[in-house]
Amino acid sequence: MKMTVKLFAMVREIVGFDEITISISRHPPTVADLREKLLEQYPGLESLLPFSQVAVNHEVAVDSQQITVGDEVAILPPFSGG
Amino acid sequence: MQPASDDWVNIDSRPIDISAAHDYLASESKESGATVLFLGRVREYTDPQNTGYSDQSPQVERGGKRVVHTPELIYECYPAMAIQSIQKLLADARQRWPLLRLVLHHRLGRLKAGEIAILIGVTSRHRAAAYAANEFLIEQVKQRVPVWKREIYGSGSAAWVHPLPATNSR
Repeated sequence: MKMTVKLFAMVREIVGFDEITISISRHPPTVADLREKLLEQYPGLESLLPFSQVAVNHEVAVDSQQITVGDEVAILPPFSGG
Repeated sequence: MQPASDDWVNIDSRPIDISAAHDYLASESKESGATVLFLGRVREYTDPQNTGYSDQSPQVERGGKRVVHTPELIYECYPAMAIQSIQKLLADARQRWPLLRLVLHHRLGRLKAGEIAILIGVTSRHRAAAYAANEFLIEQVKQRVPVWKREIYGSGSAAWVHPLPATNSR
């Protein structure tokens, strides 16, 4: 399955784009599959990704959550607002 | 601009308008004995452990401590999720305390030291609830709202700030 992933802050800076398309062979893929694929394609995320959350449709998702076609997916490095 | 309910949420690059926020909190205020307004401003000097500090960050000495000079910050957010997360926080606060009006404004874009980055306003019948809810909200914003800051150092270099859970500063 192909999915678009939104990137923010240092994750975006490391990858070089604010949005990327990721292809995952498992149907339906889980958040854990996405994390694995991201690290494979962007090894520069190694230190930051474990501390980053994945949001699916604007909600923080656990690693076992499945991602389906049309979901809005985003990688959220640790927040620093306020 | 016009708040739709008793919660007024804003997250954009316009300067924060304290007086508009206060007018909103004060309207229909005959029941609200307490108004607590928190303003978070950009600090010009920050402790190294609270920053995107690295060995390359320019440090200066102030009051016998090594600090990082951060004359400017840039805030960005994940807009759709940020608004939704703030609305949830406000709803959570309402579950815990008997609150009347709530305002939460977060600024985005480039801010200079001294400018207001966040305003949180809470009204309630009595002060204990208003103080407690206001502190709860700023702590929760830091943990749950997808906003990020980039520090611009005195030297012109810059770094994103991504604190690990244990390093959040109060």
